[in-house]
Amino acid sequence: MSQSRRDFMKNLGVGAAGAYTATLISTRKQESIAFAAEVGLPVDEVINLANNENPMGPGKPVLDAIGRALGGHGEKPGRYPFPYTTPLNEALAAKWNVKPENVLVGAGSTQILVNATHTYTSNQKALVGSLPTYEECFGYASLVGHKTKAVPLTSNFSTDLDQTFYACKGAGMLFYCNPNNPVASLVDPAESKEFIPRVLKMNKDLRILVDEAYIDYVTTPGHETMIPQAIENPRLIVARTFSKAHGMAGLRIGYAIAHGDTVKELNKFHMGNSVSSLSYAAAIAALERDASDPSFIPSEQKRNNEARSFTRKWFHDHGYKDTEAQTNFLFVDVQMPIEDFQGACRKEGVRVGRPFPPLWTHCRISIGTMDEMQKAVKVFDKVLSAAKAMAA
Amino acid sequence: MTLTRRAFFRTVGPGASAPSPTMITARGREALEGEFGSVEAGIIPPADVDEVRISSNENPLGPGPSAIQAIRDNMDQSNLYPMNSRITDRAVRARLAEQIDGASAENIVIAPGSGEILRNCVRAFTSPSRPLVTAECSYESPTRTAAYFDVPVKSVPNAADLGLDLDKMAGAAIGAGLVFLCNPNNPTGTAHSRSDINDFVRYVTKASPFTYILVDEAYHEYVTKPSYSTAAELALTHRNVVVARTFSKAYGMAGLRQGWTIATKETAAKVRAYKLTLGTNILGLAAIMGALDDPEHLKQEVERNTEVRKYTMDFFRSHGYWVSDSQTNFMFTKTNMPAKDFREACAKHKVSVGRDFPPFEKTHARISIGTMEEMKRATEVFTESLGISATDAGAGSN
Repeated sequence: MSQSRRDFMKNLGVGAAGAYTATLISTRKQESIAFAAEVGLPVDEVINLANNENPMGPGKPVLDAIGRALGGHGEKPGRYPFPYTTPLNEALAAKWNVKPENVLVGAGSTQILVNATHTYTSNQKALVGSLPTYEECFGYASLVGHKTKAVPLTSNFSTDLDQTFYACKGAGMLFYCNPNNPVASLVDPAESKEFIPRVLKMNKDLRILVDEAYIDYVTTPGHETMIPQAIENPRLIVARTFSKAHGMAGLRIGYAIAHGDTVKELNKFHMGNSVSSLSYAAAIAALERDASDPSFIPSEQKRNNEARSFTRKWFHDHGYKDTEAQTNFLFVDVQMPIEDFQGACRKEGVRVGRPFPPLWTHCRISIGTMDEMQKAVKVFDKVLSAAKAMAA
Repeated sequence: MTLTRRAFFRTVGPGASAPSPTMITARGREALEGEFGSVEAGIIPPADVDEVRISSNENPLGPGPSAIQAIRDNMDQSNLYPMNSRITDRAVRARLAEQIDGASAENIVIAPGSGEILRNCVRAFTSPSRPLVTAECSYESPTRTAAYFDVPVKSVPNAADLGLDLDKMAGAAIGAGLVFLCNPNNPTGTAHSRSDINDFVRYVTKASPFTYILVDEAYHEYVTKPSYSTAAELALTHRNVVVARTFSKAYGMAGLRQGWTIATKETAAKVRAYKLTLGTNILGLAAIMGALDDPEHLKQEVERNTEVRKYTMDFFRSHGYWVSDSQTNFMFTKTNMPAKDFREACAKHKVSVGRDFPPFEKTHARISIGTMEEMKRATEVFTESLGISATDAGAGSN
């Protein structure tokens, strides 16, 4: 993130034709123009740590693939994306050593979450999940009047497996976000392995949707994807996304891996035709790159982990407690009303996560680049010190 | 549609007979086959380089240079959600609102393709006790959604010119949840005048105030018929009217998945409730902004299509084949042979034409308008597929 403001303005200009290959790795400074104008700061000095975006972008091979998908004369976007669907299903199947019929692609994992909620819950069969967790499933269930059961986290902000087990009695689907957004924590790998088969055995109609959006950022030894179990068990679905470690949040593409029968069931509720041909091309290129360069994801994990460790240490050194983050964001008790913290940081040019009720003093802080985090902690210092001085 | 207002009210008046039970059908499994075949199957293979694909009403040239440039300029934003990218969903809604007199961003909903708008309107406005009204031969997406949600469908047979039978549809609308008015209509290509649509809306709003009317204007930009104009103004002034638009056709962005809708604030909120969260990708949003900066390109694309459409329609007419009054980038023609046979005959020469469109699948074909070069090659293939010989020219076969 060392791109100068001058370079940035140049890239924005009309001379930018073809410049995308030269700029390649994206910088989030660019998104912040409006925000910068709003807070009256130079665009270089605003940092967005609110939405768990990957500051590094998808990388050159992916951006090149998007360029190729435009066609030599920009003619290709005139065609519907269908020719890409089979190649991507096949590439994902190859990556996970499953069959194409085990794969369902959607406009972000969001669409997978909505479809599973639609398909497997009802006004009698509840959706079960943690409180708080990623809200998509609960939001959809509420919209369509499906029953919901939200299970508060344990006192150390972990998924409460015992209470979740009881809540799953008679339920339609458990949304199992692991690591859990917004609290960043992971269920102990051994406990998770024991819990899933046990709850599936207790409720023979239950489906479990395992959201692995952040799995590439997990550093806890022994944590593994549930994909091998999902292709064996029609009642287990794994949702994945290209939005996080692959840096493609804006392209809106994610997928489910599940038993073939389950994929068919999910497909009955129109998935529509919501994914762009450019996003398909990008995802295919990302998978090719992952195959040819197995260090890409580990190096992104390492980059994130360094910036995460730095930020966590800063909070610990200043007496603030956070959860054991296994994601590209932190969940920290800032010991002041989150809305005040958020507003004060915003004035200083740093956007942090919104409130996640009922945790009114906890803040979700996304991990940017090391450079961004070094600047951000100075803002946190200022804001938190001022609040303490006020309280004193 | 030459329907006079008097005739209109006569046919839909209190004396008009209720739609017959046979009209009320959910088309079932067959209807679940999409525009492009089964979604579960492998669908369409990648295009052969020398294939003439005139089967899906795609724009063969893609978006204009300003849209492509906008995509290139915004690729570096691929890691950002659409609320954070340089070009946000909100900014695009505001820009789209500028296209419509009297609209603001709250009147606009953007979706990944207008297909989602259609689906969400069916979800928002119909129920098992509030049917969907559509034409027998029209775009089937709303019918498929209705079938999925166990919503009864009243399919009204098309008029003699294969346009929508607005009289009968107005009659069927009484007590319905939603009327789907595809204008211009896919697959028949016909368009209704603004005054016909006005009369329809006025009648239905009065006779059945809780019935919504979805006007799908996917092919709006291609219409050349002078009496036609958009129903957008009606959508801003009537709580029960929704207009759907897409960037997939004249704007050449089928691959980028961007559609939008115009409605009153309250109605837009109802449609938005079912919207997929963060459904629209940022490169498509950027392309919209680029495209709207170059209205001249759109004008040229419409002129190009009009010219090639005329060439293709003239080909059929000169050989005595009936064609509908196409106002779109496709045409519907009476080949007098099953669409399947025609399709297979053309496919032998790498020309792909449209699928079956019941109830006209035994006699009619839908042919999309490609480039002039493509249509010249295609018409040579049609000559062979239809068994036209030189002496057939001018022999009526309507």
